[in-house]
Amino acid sequence: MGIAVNDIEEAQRLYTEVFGLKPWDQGVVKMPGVKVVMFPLDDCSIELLQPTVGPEDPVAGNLARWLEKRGEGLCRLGLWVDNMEEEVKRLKESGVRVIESGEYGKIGEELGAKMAFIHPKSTLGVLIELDQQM
Amino acid sequence: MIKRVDHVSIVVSNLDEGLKIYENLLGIKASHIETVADQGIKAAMIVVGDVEIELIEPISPDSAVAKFLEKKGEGVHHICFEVDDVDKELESLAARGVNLIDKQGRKGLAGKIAFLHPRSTKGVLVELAQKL
Repeated sequence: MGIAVNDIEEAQRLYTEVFGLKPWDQGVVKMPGVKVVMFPLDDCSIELLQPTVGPEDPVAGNLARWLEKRGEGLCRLGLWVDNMEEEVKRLKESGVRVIESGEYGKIGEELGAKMAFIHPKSTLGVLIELDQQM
Repeated sequence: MIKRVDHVSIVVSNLDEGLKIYENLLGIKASHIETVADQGIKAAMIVVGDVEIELIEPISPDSAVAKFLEKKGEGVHHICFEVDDVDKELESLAARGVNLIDKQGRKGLAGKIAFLHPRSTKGVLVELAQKL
């Protein structure tokens, strides 16, 4: 689960000190257009996301646009898939709008995962991230 | 202590339409559908691995979920964490300055449940659930 925040250090303190979650060892990590900290929780993880580019950025600006429009809060749902190509093909064939881009590919590579997103227009307002571990 | 994510809840304006979309997206059928009169909602559960995706549709116009839908539109509504003891957790969170919507656990779909105020959680509506 991804949570969009304005100040990731402050949010990390909240989730650590108040909710008692333990962040991953890397702490706050800078990625293209976004700062991220993950809290592994059983089979899931909670991820705090702070945009480092403005809403005008064509690739990574969607998080900033989200914050501007809706404020801090739950902003995406990540799901693991076994086979990204097959899953993307199946979704596209059933009319679902899938976003794949070179930039996400690069971020994914750094994390050791294949990534794609399902557009909120195809999910009744939920940005869904698909990941395949490599 | 928070043990795991129990479910993620998505508010939709029409449950049948929402189910059609999510059953197709996930390739999984809903496990059950239930009406919760005191919360003014109809809910459907889809089990994905160890976590459930819950779709909720408000059926009463003055329910909190109806107000959320009106204000924010369709989308993620709340996240539910499983805890061992809801009342104990509420007490300890309140002592740490967290605003509570429910001062005590009550019966809900996921067990004995309580909601925390998004003001205290960076805009996230958090539900705590103790399995019964």
